[in-house]
Amino acid sequence: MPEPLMALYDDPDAAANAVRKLHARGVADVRLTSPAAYPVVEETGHPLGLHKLGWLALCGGLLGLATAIGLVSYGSLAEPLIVGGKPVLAWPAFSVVMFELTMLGAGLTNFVAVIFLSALARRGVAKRARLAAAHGHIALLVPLSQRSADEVAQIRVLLGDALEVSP
Amino acid sequence: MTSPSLAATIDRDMEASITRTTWRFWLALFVAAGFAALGGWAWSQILQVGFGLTGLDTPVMWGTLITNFVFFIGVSHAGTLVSAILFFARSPIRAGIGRSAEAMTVIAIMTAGLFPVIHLGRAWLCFWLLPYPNERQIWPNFHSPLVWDVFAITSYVTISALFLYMGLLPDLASLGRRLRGVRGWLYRSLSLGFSGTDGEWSLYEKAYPIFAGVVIPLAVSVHSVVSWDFAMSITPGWHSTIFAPYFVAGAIFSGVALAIILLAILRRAYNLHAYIRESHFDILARLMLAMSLIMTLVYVTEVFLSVFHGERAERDLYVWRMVGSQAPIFWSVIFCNSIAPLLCFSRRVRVDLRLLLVVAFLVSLGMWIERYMIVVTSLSHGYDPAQWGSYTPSRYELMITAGAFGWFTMLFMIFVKVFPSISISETKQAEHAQSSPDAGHAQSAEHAAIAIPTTAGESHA
Amino acid sequence: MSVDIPPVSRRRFLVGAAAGSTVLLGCGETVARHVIPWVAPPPDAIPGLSLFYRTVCRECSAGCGMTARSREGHVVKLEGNPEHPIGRGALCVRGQAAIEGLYDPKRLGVPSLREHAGAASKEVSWDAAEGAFADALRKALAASRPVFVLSRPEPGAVGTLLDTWLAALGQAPGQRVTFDPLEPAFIRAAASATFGVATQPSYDIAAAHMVLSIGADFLEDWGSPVEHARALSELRAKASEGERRFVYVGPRLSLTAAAADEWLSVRPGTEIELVLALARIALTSGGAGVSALPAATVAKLTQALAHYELAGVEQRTGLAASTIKRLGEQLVRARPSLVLGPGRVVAGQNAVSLARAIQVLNVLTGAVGQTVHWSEPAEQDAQPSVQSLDHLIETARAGRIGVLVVHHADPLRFGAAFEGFTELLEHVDFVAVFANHAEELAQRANLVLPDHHFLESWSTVSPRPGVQGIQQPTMSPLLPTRAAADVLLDAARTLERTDGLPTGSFAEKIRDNLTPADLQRGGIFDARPVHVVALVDDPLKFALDSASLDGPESGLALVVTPSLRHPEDGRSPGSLLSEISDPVTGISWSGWVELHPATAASLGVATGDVVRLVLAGRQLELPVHEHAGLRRDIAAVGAPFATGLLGRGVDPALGLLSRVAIHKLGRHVALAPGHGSDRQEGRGLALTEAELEKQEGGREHTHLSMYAEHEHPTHRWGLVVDLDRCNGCVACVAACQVENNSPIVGPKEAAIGRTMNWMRIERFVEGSAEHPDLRFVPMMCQQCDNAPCEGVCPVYATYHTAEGLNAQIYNRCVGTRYCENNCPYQARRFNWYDNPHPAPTNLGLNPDVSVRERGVTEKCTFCVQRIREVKEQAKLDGRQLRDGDVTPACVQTCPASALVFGDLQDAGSRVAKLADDKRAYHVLGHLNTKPGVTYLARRRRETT
Repeated sequence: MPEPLMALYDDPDAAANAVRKLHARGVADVRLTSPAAYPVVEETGHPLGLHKLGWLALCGGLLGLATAIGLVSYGSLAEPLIVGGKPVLAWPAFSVVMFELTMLGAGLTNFVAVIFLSALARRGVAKRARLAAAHGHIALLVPLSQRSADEVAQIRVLLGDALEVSP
Repeated sequence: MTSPSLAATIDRDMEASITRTTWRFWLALFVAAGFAALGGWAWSQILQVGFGLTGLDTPVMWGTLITNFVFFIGVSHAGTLVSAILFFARSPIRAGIGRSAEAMTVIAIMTAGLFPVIHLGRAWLCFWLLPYPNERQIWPNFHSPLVWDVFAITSYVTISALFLYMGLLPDLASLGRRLRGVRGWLYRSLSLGFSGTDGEWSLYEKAYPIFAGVVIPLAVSVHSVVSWDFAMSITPGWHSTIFAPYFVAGAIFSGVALAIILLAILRRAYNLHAYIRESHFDILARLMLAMSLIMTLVYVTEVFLSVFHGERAERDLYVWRMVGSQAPIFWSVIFCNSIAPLLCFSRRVRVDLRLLLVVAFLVSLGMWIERYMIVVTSLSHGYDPAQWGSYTPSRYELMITAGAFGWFTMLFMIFVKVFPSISISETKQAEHAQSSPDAGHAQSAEHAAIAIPTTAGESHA
Repeated sequence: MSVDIPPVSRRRFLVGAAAGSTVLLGCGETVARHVIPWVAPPPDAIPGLSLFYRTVCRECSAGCGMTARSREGHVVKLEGNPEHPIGRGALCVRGQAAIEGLYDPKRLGVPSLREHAGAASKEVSWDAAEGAFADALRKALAASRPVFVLSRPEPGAVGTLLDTWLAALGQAPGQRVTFDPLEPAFIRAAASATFGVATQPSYDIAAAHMVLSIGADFLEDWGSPVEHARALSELRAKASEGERRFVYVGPRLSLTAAAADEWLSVRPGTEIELVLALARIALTSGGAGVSALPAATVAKLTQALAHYELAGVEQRTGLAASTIKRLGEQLVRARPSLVLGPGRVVAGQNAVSLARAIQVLNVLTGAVGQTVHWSEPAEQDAQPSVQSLDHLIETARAGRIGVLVVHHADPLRFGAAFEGFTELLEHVDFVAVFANHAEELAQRANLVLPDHHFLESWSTVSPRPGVQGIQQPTMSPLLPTRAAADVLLDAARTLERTDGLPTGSFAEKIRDNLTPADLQRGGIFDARPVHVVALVDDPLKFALDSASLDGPESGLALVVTPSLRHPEDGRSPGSLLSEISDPVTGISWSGWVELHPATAASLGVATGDVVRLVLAGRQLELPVHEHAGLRRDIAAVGAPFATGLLGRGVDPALGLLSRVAIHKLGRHVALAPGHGSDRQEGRGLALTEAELEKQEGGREHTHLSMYAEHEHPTHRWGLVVDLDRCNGCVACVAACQVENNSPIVGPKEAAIGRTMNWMRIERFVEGSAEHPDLRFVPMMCQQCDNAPCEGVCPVYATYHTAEGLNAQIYNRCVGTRYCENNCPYQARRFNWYDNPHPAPTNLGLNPDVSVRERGVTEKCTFCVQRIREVKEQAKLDGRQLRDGDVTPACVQTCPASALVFGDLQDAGSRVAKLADDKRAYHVLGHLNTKPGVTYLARRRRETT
């Protein structure tokens, strides 16, 4: 299977134009790598269930909350000592621990989710493109498989204002 | 259109800040480490001989060590909190100061976290404060604010660290691919395979708000909890509902002040004038001023409430604080935290770094003294007049304090040496956002700045 | 069995306990040889359970009964003997601290001998020591040089033995010299002049309706502090049944003065004027005793007293005529009344005349026979000490003394007062000293023979006729010491001069005359034989002048004040007594000179400034303490610190010395405790009845609470502190420290407030500058229901027990010290360092209380170990606890019975009743801590 076509840009706007033109021509499966979160990264409209993130964080938070409730009630009842004339289960006092663990849960889940989802997100992006991004370029990738020679030719034209197009 | 040049220079400058090391750096690091070691030695003495080496005595059972704890927790606030707020404000200045601010947070907590352990009479049993399963079924007392501390601080340090780490990933990735040798390998492995693909970037766009949304309430809660260490007691001068907002405001206040100092040093040391601009300091100065005004309000309220308080002990304490033997402490706090920052009303002070640094230093000092005042003077003038006492820090406590600042400086220096102290990717993004009019929500730095304290909320919504 | 906890009452329990002890002592010496716990314990000694022995306290000459609690063969706690008429179960601070002397590492164990003059003294075996002693005696007898015995007052078996021993050696009775420097000889002298009876009277304070003390600090010394404290407290308790007044006249607001309804002072030295003025009033306005007097005497008195009309006396004493008149009338009205004195602080050169005047006044008011009793002269206090010491010195000057046997006495401790004694030592061939410590005299002696500690020895002690306390060993000797009596007996046997001396050991001799019942009781107590005395024909036929004070007119009159915390015989107090702060000044460890704030200001000094006192060439450097309760024209120095100022021939018993010049030195020292306020700042800690009523909302603080009241299924232990009875004698503080193994921290740490005592006496100076009002508040953990300290502990190291105790788990404490910050009563203490208990002091630790580690917090537990012990015993006996079964250490020892402990839920208990008294209040109750300690406000006392 042939390598995808890679066009390098330094100017994010230029890259964005190129992407738009390709889309106009019905070339939908464009991928790109970028050194920063320029607006262009949204242009390719990479399909990935991002809406899940929020829900994951929420679940994590609830998990944390549940842990906290379990911990404080078990911990207090395991040795039910009276302190300061307060009840053994003093929820107002426990609410602090519950809040903190909720937040911890949410944060941790969010982080783990991002790490795993990014691993999914970067599948099928050529190594040289990643390298290019590392060196500060924006790299557009257009797969060449199942594309006729003249389609490729047109695409090359559309990528005309790129610094460099390879192969 | 200067973008390519800047985009290129940021890579170069950051690489330089990491790879090129001057003898000044080593000297400074050595000094800082020296202080840290001194503090460690002092603590070892206390561990061996006993807490009698401190200046503490009945009734003042907490002193300088707890003061440091509260101070560094406070310092930790500006960082992550400010950076998160700036994020919601979509402020371009975040690119310049966010990274070091977040680093400051994590390191400050790493410093503050030492003190609850150091000040234990039997520090070797500190793990008893953690909820771990044991055959005797003895768990921590979840009623106690000190246990709340344990949870609040661990959560906060974890989340802040992850927040910082997540922001680092893109930079680590690009550096890792560019640099050779150990550094390259280190960065590559730390970058967890980040590649800057469109998919990952859009994930970040989604994940960041969530993170920021978690961090802000967490940060607010942490210092509220720390304030409750005091407010939950019945000691006059501590037992007050105003403490939570009081401490949070104070925390941000001191944090911003220290951030100004660190950024100024950073900017000078690595010659980052292009990324950390007057405009940034201007914004921070305004934030500091706003906080100072809040603090003044708090001071007035607190004194008012106490002096017209029904409880005789409370009343006596505050009067004594203001006119008694400890009055110098009180008034120096007022001077440093309420009067000096008023200079920031003048733009000249805000943009003239030398003046601003003086103010920022005064504020940091003032906030330390304020914590000392809250901890010590309240204890020394309690309910039982026959037990009123005095406290002066012993040299061991002073050594540990110096050690704490040394430790803090050392860690921060190591951080900026090992990691890019300014977010490369964000700088590029922000710089592009400004340069191209059509690009999304372009704002001038000034403009964003004015927006910060006020519009943070809305832009979140 | 001896280990029983009271089946009915402490009293019966102790009887049982003593029964056990006699069984143990039956096995006698053999058991007593072992210091370590027995390999094969005697039948009634069960490890883990206590044995109780009754004995007598020898810390001062009062001779209170003692009960020693012994565990595994070691005494761990001293308490009073409830059956002993003196003390009645209570002990003073010195009695409580006596155990420290027993385990003092510096106590002498081995005899030491100085071969010949000038040679260094070195340790020798007992055989060598006793040989040397016998030789010395033999030489003396051969050379017919006199043998003298110099001893502390030994009213009892030892005293008798000393006499018979001297007699057996063919010596004259006058050669036994009793050395009792602080014994107020002038009272005896006066008595022989006024009544022809040379004895100390005894007083019935509780019976009097009006007590007037002429400088007699009877709560500090003046005979029998514990007995007097109890009597005064009984007087206070009677206040409800009609007027009871106690007025104190003296230059200083002392502990005793603070306990009075009224503190007055007259120009130093003019006290006699006041007394005579009062006598005149009594005479003219029908004192109860006047009618009984022969007309001739009355006539003579009237004539002698004519000179003392109010106006003149007011002018000379500086005391308002109206006040004098009022006092006089009160004395006459009160039937019976009682005038005590003179006390040391007013005893100047005219001490004897003052004493005589007071005795006459007591006759006129009818007090003699009612509240003042004379008893048959007891042989041993026939001669005043100083006088006989002079006799000893003269003899020495006349010709050499062969052997001087010194038995627990050391005149050298009194500075220049007995410097004649120093040169006397030149004229003595051989000085043999029986002592427990190598103090001044022991260091100069040829032979030092370590005696047993009094808790290890046999004797009998009869401080006054009718009371014969039995002193029995409470444990086997800790060190290879020998009983002095046995050493003397052996010597006599070696010399074959044993006429009249017992054949066996001294212990046997005593034991033979005693029944087990006596040992159980702790003594043989008969009714006090009353001796009716009559006034001599012309009782006031002597110089009635005021005491003249020489020295610079500019100077201040030096008043030497008694101290509860210091042994009278000049021994240095142990560290426990030194660390417990003086109740009047709050100072611990160091000495001080008291000045009135105004006087201090005029001298340009303040509290802590060191000054030099100069008196007739002798000088002394002491830090100043400003005391509002002081006349402006005097400087007061505690007796233990004043010895440096005593001149040759100055009777150390006198307290009112000539004027001193005071020079500022410019040095400053921190007097412990270095901080704290003298005033209550309106916190209402120590309240009087009046103030309590004034308090808004009265004593009831009603609080809304989110939570239900505590359930206390079985008991709710509570303590009541009666501030009307408490006189601040700090005995409870010592008891608490000994019972709970609280460490001593030493002067440096004490100065910065790091003392470890769980209980303290807080002192507050209220009232106006003219009428300062010294108040004491015993402060200990209040065992709150809503304890602020509990909730804040992160590791559950402190919590609320089902019986209402605020428990502290030392092993769990990690030392956050949050609880101490949060205790409004500052009742918690933190272990700043490891507190070592070097051998043999560790043997004195209470095995029922854990010794705390560095870094943990500790506090009062209402002596939970005692509560448990009693509960367990009750369980074994299958009975319910009764009120009074449990007594914490502080409650047990309180001479004024100001502390009452019990179950607040038991409606019938004393503590529950008192907690509902109209005087009851909670310290800082408005904090809603719901304390288990209730205070009873001090009764109204007008300070006019």
